[in-house]
Amino acid sequence: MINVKLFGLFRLDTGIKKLEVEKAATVQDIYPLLLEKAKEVNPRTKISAKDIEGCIIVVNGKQTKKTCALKDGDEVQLMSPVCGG
Amino acid sequence: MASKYAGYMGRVVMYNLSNGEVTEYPWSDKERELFIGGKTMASKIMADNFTGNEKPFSEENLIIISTGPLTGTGAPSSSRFNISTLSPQTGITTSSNCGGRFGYYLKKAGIDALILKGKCSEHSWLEINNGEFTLHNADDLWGMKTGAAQEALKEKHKLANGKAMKFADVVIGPAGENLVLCASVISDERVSGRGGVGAVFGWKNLKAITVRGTKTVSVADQEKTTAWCQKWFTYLREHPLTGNQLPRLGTAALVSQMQMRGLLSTKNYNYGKFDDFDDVNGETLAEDYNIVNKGCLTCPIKCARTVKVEGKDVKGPELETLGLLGGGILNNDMQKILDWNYEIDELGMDTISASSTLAWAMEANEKGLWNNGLEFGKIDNISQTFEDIAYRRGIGNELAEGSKRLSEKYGGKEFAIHSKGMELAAYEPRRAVGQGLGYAIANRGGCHLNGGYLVIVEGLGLYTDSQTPNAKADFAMMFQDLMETISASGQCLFTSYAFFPAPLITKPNSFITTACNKAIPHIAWALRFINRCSPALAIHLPVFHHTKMFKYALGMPMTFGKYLRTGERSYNLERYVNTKFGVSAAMDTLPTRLTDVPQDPDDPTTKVPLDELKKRYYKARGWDSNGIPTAHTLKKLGLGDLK
Repeated sequence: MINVKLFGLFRLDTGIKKLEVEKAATVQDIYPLLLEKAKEVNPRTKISAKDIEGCIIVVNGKQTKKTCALKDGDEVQLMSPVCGG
Repeated sequence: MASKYAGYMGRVVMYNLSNGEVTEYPWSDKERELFIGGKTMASKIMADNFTGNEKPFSEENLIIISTGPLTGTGAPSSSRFNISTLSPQTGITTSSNCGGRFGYYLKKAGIDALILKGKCSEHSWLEINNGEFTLHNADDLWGMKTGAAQEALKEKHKLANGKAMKFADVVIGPAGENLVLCASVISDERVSGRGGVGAVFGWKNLKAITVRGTKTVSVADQEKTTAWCQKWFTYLREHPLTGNQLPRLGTAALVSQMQMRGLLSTKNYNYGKFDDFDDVNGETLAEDYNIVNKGCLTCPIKCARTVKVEGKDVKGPELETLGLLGGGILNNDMQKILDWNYEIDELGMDTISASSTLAWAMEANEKGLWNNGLEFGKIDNISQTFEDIAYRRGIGNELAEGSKRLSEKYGGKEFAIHSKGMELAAYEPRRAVGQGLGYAIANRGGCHLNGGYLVIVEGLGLYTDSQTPNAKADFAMMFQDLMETISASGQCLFTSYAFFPAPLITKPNSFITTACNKAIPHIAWALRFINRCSPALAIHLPVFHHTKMFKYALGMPMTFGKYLRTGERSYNLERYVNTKFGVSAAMDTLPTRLTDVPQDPDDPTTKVPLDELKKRYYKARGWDSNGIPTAHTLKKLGLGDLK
């Protein structure tokens, strides 16, 4: 099982805090499942693949790319970028 | 003194609290051009009046409340005012900036800046009505918390027909009255928090100031000003940061990203990550606690949160408070943070210093240095402890002195997280070394903004190499200079965030953003050129609306280069005043936890290489190796005739 957690405005926009994915070879394999779930939560969602592509990706605490290989037990964090404060 | 420039009211007034004497303080157009307003104006007044022998708690200490020329002109986010004084926390100058309405109302009363000297002979509050001053007895207000005091002042401003007059106020709470070194000044729900300005009010027996007036702020070219403001408001509303992120998540948005990058101060800066961060971050605040977002006058960003505490709608916490009262003390109870944030404001204290001192005390207890009953993760005695600090009861009397003084008494200096006596904010600098430089060299002490806020390119916006010293000194200087002039003009620093091109923020994985992040450490030479030759940049940048606003609203010539140079003058002037009070390289320090102990034991680069960074910074600034501005630098900035 791969645990996916969402942060930033991306989380507010999708209405999804976390998602459990049974199997995914790489981070980008999670994207279609995420889109599907977002539509399930809100059928009128405007979230698109482009929004997911714009997220910062962190796997097991380390920032990485969407091609990062995943294994059972990994935690994937997807976060829309923030700035300032 | 009347001005040829619009935006100014033409009066800088010195009011002697000891005898009620009102003096017009001379302030010429030349000074308006060089020092603009706000904190810079205050620095000049301090440079002219302080010898270096004055003490924070003394009749000679001044409280300078100054506005910026753009306040009241309609410029976005331009209702801020500044309070400068000698800080009881640091012994040097502090400049504490505040939003809300007070600055605007001070201008409506016809005053650009108010200088208070002396000391009231009894508990007092000062009423300003269209530039006329009346000092009232405040025995009935003394002892009140900040909310109650403001309510009582409303009663005092009721007309015969029962309607309330329109006025604004600043008040202190019990912490200021009891000379707690981190006491704040409150205006509505906004806070002038840092540096202990509230304690100086308290020492001077001054509980509150109210101000009202009927004057209007003029602008040089109304048509162009209105058109430019409309364009600027639209730009801010459409920018992903100022138009989306800050309104929807506030500054709390950063907590999660700080966690991801090891920047979230945890257990008194022992670590940079907090396991339970998702319980106390901006997303959870927005989803489960936030009622609505609010803003100051003329602000399209509206970054403030409104939350429920004890059934009331009150101001929510900023990210610094979430970080320091969350991971900082190993607390994962969001509602408790909301409660404490409200209680601290009611008591009139700075949440950053009060929280960081608490974390130090917990660690001192854990290490057996001071048996005080405070423990990481134990939250049932925190409310009582904050109250005890404000009233100086029991251990609160000692905590009221802050972590620097406590560590000098009990030991534990290496984990007293302060610079110059002022506690640091929630950004852990061992994973953002430029931010570490900023904390150490910031004029008012351990401030996250006054040091240049380099964390914005080191992980919170851009993602340049956070461990290299390369280019950090030059970036710090440039950002400091920009922020100085923004602040001096009366505007919020958040207006500068829209300076970042949107695609760099919204597309962190793009080729251009990646290339930009990689290039930044290698462009020190370009930044140095801009910093040194800024007056030659006689241009307006399309993404930086501030400069044209000077022309349209004030009738004052301004370019991007002049704007930078004005900020440089401001920063050097404040440093110069501080050198009179003993500031030098020896005081530009951080606790050894941050400079000598790697955050990651397996990665020796995860600490702040402060000596190297300081050396580069002093050189970039044109200061000598002891951190003192040279005569050449001061002369270049038009400060050659300083006393």
